[in-house]
Amino acid sequence: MAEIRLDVRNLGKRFARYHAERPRTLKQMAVRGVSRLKPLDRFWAVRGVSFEVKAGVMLGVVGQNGSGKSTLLRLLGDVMRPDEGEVIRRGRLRGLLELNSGTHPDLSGRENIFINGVIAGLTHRQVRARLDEIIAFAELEQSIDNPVRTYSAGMKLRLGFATAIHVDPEILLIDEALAVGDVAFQQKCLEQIKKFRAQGCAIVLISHDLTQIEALCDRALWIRRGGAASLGDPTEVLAQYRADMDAEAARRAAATMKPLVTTAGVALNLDENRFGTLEAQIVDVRLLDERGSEARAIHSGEGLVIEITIDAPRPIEWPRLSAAIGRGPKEDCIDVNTEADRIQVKTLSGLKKVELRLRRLDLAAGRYDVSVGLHDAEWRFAFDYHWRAYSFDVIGSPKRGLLSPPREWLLA
Amino acid sequence: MRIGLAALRSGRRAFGPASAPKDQDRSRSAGRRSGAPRAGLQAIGHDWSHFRDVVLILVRRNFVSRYRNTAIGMAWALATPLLFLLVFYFVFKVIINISIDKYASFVYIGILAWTWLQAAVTDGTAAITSNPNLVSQPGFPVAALPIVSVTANLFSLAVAFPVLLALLIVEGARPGFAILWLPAIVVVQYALTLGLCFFAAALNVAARDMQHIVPILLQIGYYLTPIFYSGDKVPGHYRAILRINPMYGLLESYRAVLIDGRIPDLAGLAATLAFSLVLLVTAASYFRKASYRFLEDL
Repeated sequence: MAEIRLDVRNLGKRFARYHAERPRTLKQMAVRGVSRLKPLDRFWAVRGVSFEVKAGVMLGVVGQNGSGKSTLLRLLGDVMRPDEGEVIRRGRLRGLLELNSGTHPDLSGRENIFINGVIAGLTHRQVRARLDEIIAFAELEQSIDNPVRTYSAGMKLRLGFATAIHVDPEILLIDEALAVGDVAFQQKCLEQIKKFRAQGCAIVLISHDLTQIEALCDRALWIRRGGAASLGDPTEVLAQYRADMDAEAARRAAATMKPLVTTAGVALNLDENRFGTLEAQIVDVRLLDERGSEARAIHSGEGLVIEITIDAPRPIEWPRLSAAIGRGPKEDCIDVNTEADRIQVKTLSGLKKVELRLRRLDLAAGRYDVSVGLHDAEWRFAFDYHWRAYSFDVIGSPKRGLLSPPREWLLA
Repeated sequence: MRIGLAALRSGRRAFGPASAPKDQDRSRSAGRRSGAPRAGLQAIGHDWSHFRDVVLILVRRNFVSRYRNTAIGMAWALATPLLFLLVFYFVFKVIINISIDKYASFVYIGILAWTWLQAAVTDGTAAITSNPNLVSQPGFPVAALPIVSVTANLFSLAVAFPVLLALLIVEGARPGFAILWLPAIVVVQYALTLGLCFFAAALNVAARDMQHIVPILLQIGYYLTPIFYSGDKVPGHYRAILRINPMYGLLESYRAVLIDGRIPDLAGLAATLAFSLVLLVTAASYFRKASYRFLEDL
């Protein structure tokens, strides 16, 4: 019998719900009165949850936003203390939750590996022993001594993930925020996680990606309104969860979100070619040529405008925008973002239109796909990321190679 | 400082990182039972070296990020206190003609020691609130953050130390063997500052006012501490009140050791140490209790 690594018994966490204008400073206290200091009521974010995770087992946790998944994860990670019940951990606990939490942009990739490695629970000596492995995993051998501010979004992600994954955990907590990144690298990370499991690590994966949970997990837990709605075989649990979700979705159907179909007619499906929390959304993306009309095909050397419409119902601070143009699923020819281009946007709220004007694209002929993303300030997660969702053709240049710069041949 | 922390080590959230193999850890409902059955010495060894590495790496990050990408780099750590020294010297020595011997050394010691306290407490107040992503990291010892504030600012001070020595020599001070007492005084101030930082850091999570109150208190403290004037000039009964300020005695000790080459007032230093340790232990235990609620308020 495999050893129980994580034993959760009747776990409960209660939060106080405060007055919306709860005074947070003494001045406000004086102005608004002390009465608003008292919580209006208390509610259980998580209650009566019990389960165990044995060595070599991967448990997938599903549930809607606000169901208590994150609180559960924090209780498991011992960064929050339960009000009821207990969590017993037998083994080294590590988290793959937030990448790059200690990253300093002015320091080199190498220095940041040390910082994030130590923050993730390794000693300096342990990081040094794994340094080469981490750099190789991140595929950053060439640029490891450059400051991280010169890195692309993808490079930062690889750096963060490679560091976070070299921690030899015995209990591993994984948050879904890791869903963004190019597919090849995601695959590599999944392989590493599978290796941990094979070595006897107990893994808890919280994700919205049901297919991923079905494919990876041995057991699944469905959290609904803070309680364990169902626990057991992933196929069964997910079937129940899906049925409930469908019912829920039917209830408030058209009112909330109409399925997004791009102007090119491509449907965006969450967790297929669309990722993110959707707290703020990219509601429309148009590719325009130099004359401002819809660009289905452009001549090599012409410019391209990517027009992105964003809807942020609640203001988001210091958002980062990224755009990439690639050919096929693997290769990005262009990968730019506002941080690398030193564009600072303090807040974004309501409906906003953003244009990225690429003055000329000297690309080889072929079909190209555009990915656009709206990320949080630290690149920890995406609000909305449309992967390879918009395509256009480049014509009038050779098909071979990647670039077709303006050129002339001179015969001496 | 070690004594104070060692007594409180059982709180894993605040002080202990993730456990070593076979170390079983329980977090039960608050109040009924807290703390974890510790595993062998190995686990404690790993915890300590990890804790130390967290402090060291964050101190380094703090230090490098502060001075890299600035035109004169680390020279800023020198330039700032020197500028203050020049102003004070001009105002009090040249204009007011204050009668304190070796006035440049006198003021410079005051500026350096006070800057350490002030910068550390200012950083310490924001240590938790400005690092929510570290606080939510499983196994991250949050108690490292206030320690980083105090330690990082001690290093900035160390950069300025050679200038102080030069100043002492130029002004004809003879530190002698009494300088061996210097580390002891620094340790006392470290404990004092760390205690203040633990309090300020934890309080600031619940009431963000601390960010505004702390600078005011520090400004008041600046004038009520004999930095640019001598405590001897303060009338007797006021002096007794000003002496409650632990920095008063610490500055006197620094000056005794560095300028006069005397052994500091040991009884006074011991009293300050005792006070600082009590403060540190109380603050650290408050911090530990509060640390489980940090994420609820961030």
